[in-house]
Amino acid sequence: MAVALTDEYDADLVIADAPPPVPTRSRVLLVGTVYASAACVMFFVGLMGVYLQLRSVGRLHGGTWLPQAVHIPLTQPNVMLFTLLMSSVTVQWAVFAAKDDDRRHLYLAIGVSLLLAFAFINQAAYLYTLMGLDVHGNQQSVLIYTITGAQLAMLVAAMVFLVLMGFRSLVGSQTSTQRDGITAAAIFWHATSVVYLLIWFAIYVTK
Amino acid sequence: MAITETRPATESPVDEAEPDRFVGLPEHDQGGLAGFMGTGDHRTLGLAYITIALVLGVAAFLDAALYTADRAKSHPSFEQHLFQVYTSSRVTLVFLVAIPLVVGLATCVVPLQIGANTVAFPRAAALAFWGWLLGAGLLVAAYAIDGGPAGGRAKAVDLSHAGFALLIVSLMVALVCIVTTVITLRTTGMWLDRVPMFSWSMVVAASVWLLTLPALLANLVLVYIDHHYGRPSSFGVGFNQWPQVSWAFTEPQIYALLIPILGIGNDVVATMSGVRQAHRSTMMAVIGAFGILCFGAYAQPSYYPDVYSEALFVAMAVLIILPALAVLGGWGMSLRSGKPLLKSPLLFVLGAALIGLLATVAGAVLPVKQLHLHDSVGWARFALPTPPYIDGHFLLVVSAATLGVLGGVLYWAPKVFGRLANDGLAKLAALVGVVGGLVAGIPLLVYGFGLKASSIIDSAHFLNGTSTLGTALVAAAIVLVIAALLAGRRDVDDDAWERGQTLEWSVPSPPPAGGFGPLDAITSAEPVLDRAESGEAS
Repeated sequence: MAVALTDEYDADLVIADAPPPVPTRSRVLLVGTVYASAACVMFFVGLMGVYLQLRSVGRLHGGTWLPQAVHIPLTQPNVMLFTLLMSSVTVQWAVFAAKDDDRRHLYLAIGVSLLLAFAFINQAAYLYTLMGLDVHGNQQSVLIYTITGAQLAMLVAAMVFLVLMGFRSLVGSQTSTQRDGITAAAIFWHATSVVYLLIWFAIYVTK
Repeated sequence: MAITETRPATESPVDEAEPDRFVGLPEHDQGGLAGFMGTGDHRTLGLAYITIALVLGVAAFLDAALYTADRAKSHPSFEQHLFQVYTSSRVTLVFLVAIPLVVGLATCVVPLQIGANTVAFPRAAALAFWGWLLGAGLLVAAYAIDGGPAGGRAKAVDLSHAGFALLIVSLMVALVCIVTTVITLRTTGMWLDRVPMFSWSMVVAASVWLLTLPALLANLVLVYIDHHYGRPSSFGVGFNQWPQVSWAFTEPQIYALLIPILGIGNDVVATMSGVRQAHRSTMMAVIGAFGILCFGAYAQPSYYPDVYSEALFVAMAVLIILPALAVLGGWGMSLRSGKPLLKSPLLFVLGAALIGLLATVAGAVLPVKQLHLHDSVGWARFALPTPPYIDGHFLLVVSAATLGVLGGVLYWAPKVFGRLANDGLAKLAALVGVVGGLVAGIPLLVYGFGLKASSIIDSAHFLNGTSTLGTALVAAAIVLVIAALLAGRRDVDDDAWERGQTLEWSVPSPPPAGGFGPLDAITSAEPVLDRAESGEAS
């Protein structure tokens, strides 16, 4: 309610009502994404649990886990790891750019992240040709293709999420005061990187 | 540019009848089928979940009864498909009935409890409902054409796995919507420790399911890929399919169905007793502890046969009795300090608690190796897909979960259906349901001792027959609840029980599309009770 300072009404001396407080951000998208990312990570934990358990049982009986004819090189997985870790850095760069209202760097960071993701997918396809695994040959093949294929699907979902948030930022909805969308996309992207880190160690390094 | 132009309306018109309390937002949805299919209204979605799940519940419990009925015969009628009848009843009871009933009730009630205008991500919630319905249709159709684990038609088997996976994904999306609603859309002053117990239990249950159902999905994907791409190597081999997903239907994972029942029971008991829940924070912690002890994604006997003798498994199986007892103790305190109204929701939740507690005690005995209760190999001699003790335990938990959520449906019926159920019929349903749940599970628990005491095997027909009767009684209880709802009266007050404590009892029954208007800051966990008490005081 406005308060008059003098008994006689004078419009110039009226103190205006205080502006309403800035509404608290509800962070709906952020919380939802955190839960969805956790569920995605648990999906891979489930798959990796099966993989590691069967591998340990296989080795327990004196056999080798991977079939003799199958050779998984380490060079490509290493490059893929660095590619994805770099993309995590560039996605975070996009978040910081949104925080600073730096639209130019925001678009640049999103573009570079998508480019790195495409490079990762390209390397994964090349790695598949090198491994020479037959999907319906044995349980190792089924597991490896399921785990790595699902991770690629998750990366594609992360790319779609980032592109959508990129479009939103084009219409000015991702700003220093409201950047939940780009932050949520970054969280999902980082979850993708964490999943690949698990795969890299459990499947490619320790074989 | 004129600075005096009229500002576009950003607020909804205030309802003439309830200018201070409730704002009915304009109805943007189209009417009819198109409106229903495109709606993101939380009440409509919740109503749809509950209605369909109730109908499916009758079918699913009869399906389970069919299995034990056939086991009771000397010459089973459909032995060739008995395994499919078994698996279909398990999957439908959990994923088409128990979880969807909870999800539906939560989708409808949770936003009202926390003073939110809508569920978070309403479009995703709608997508989840339609995905669930499609998945249910695919699953049922696949079973009808000889699908399901170890089914006879390869494409139907793939279809059933795809339908099952779609069910899981859809329910997970719905759970994300619910948990996000509670965490982010609470009204001013409603800190997390002031959230109504049902909403809190949904946070716990959704968190547990969102961390465990993905592991089940992982199992299913492996089965599907191995089976679909021909020459199954291990995951997709006929009778190897079900054991990989069966962990979701045994302890500790199956107890997750009981988490929301603890919350529903708390709200029902406190309201019916007319007192505030004592030691509220402790009760919330206890529900959280119960949730932690339900985490079962690690306990997969298919990959780790020795899991029953693991210290962690044994400890969880025994310890889970403690939070269950603590919650019941809290309810007892409320009932003792108040003047309880002996209405049907109270009977349902107390009956569900009794069956649930029995199930947790029975589950604590399961790991004892000398009793051979989980000895799948030993029971395979009797052509049983699962040891009967595990079956009995499953039926107890699912009956408790179904009866508990039925109590919730009756309690919140004014908000969900806009009517108060006929209490006489509903009380009869509670009696039939509780007796049915006990009779469904206990005989199979007894039968489960058959490897230890061979004389019990001679009573197999009687025990299976009794269990069949119990399972059919639970189905009858669901029918009675539907009848009680249909025979219920409309014109229900906002506070239908006249003892409401939480925010949902401050809005009309049924709540119109939209949500709350500007609400005063909440200062306690029982704002409606606060208002009633302050009104009396003045």
